[in-house]
Amino acid sequence: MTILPELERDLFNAAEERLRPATTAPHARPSPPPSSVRARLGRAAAGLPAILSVAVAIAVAVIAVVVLGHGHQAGPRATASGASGGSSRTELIRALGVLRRPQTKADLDGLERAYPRRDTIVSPPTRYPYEMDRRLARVVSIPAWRAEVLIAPVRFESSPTSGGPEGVLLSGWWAGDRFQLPGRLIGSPATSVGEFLARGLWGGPVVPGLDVAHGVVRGPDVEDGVLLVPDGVASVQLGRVTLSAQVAGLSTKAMIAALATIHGSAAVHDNIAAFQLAIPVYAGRPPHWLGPGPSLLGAHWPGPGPAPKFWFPAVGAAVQDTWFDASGHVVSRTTTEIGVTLRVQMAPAANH
Amino acid sequence: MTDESHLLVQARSGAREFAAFYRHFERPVLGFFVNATGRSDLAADLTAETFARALEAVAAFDPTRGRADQWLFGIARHVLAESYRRRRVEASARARLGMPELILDDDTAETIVRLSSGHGDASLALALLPDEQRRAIEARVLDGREYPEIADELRCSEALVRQRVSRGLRAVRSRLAGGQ
Repeated sequence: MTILPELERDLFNAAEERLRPATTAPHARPSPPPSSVRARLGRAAAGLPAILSVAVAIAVAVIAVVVLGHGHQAGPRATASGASGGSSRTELIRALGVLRRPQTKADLDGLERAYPRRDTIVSPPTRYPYEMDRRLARVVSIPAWRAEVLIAPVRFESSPTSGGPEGVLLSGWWAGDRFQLPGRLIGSPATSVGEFLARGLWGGPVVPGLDVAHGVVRGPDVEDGVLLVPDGVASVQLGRVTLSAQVAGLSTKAMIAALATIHGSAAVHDNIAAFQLAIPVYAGRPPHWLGPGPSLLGAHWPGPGPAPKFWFPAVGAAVQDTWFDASGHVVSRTTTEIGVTLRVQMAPAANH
Repeated sequence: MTDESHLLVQARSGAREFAAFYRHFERPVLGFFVNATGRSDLAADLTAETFARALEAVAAFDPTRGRADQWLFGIARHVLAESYRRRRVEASARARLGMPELILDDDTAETIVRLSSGHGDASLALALLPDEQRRAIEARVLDGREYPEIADELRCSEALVRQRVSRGLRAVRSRLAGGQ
């Protein structure tokens, strides 16, 4: 859902003209300027300098978080286009035993919780719009976490290039006191079949005890992540982790150092390896809070009340993981894009 | 390549893809402009102009030279600075593309205002700095990067980077304190 659907429609219409094959695309279609709005806004803009008023200098960072902080949202699912061609729905079903079992009521209930047919939740932006095959949706429970993970084949509306139109979706939700909206914290990562077969598909991070408002983790200082892997993989070991995307305001070097502390291995059940990782601690220079407010991006505390001491940004990383079969033999060594939450101590907030 | 760069590369291929790109960035861009202007109607029109220019330039986007968000917000900063300089909201790209006037109802205007973080003046002050000062401040103050690294990237001396940061911050503080 967009705030300005008319603008989306206008851009769509303009893009249809503009992005048409070169023989017909007018690059500068003459048209009278929207003079009325320009006049209206011209008058308004003339008064704009007056809005400059006293503010704290630290709030300068607002713009950069808007401009640059998008990096941490530029999640770890950036590799769909790297898949080999020729992958198909059949190949996916053949590779994922969990999809071959009959669909149960639990699957349908879980699917409805995660993706209600009448969805009133505004979903986060997806990389590629896709259509889910609800008949093949399956839910895997992780009882120890009171969590459920949804796996479903998808067909991308706009194909992730060489990855082909067929893919797989991984989404999840954590039950209990700190219920996480499905498709939010864990994201709704979807990738092409070829990419999945080569690298697996990571869902996460979820910090079950995270209390964002107070900047604390209540309970164990851990974060959860799941890795979807093909049949034949019995366990997964995480190796070296490297940073995939910068986060505005954080030192790259300190982020890399924090990520280097990540390690773990997990057994695979129903094609899911469930990892519980200690939250890496960022030890760089403490960044400043940018102030309270309904910010979408960056280091804003949700307010009201005093700024929390810690911030828990999710960052994109690449892990070198090794897949083992039931006999302990290496099935594959690969690199998987993952999301990880860091614990960042913040400098005291300035007075806003 | 980031998700967003993928999205932008895809946006070259058709109207649906470009609309998806718009949906992804609509809120951040609106938030940027409402922070900078404090006005929902201005934010909407500046957003429209930004995406119109993005549409005109999307074919030239090179993912190896920068991220999609940096590219888009570069356009946004330019539109903002140009609008302030000319004391009117730029609409040239919309005119070229034949895009009609945007009309906001009260609910939409309120929704846009809620995107504001309340620190728009600083955003504006930074956006209006000369490009080399703004880049130096973003790299040093906001990204927390070291001077030698920034100097290397900007292909200038470390001393010059320090000078740009210092002068830029002084200009921002001055503007926030009521100066121009």
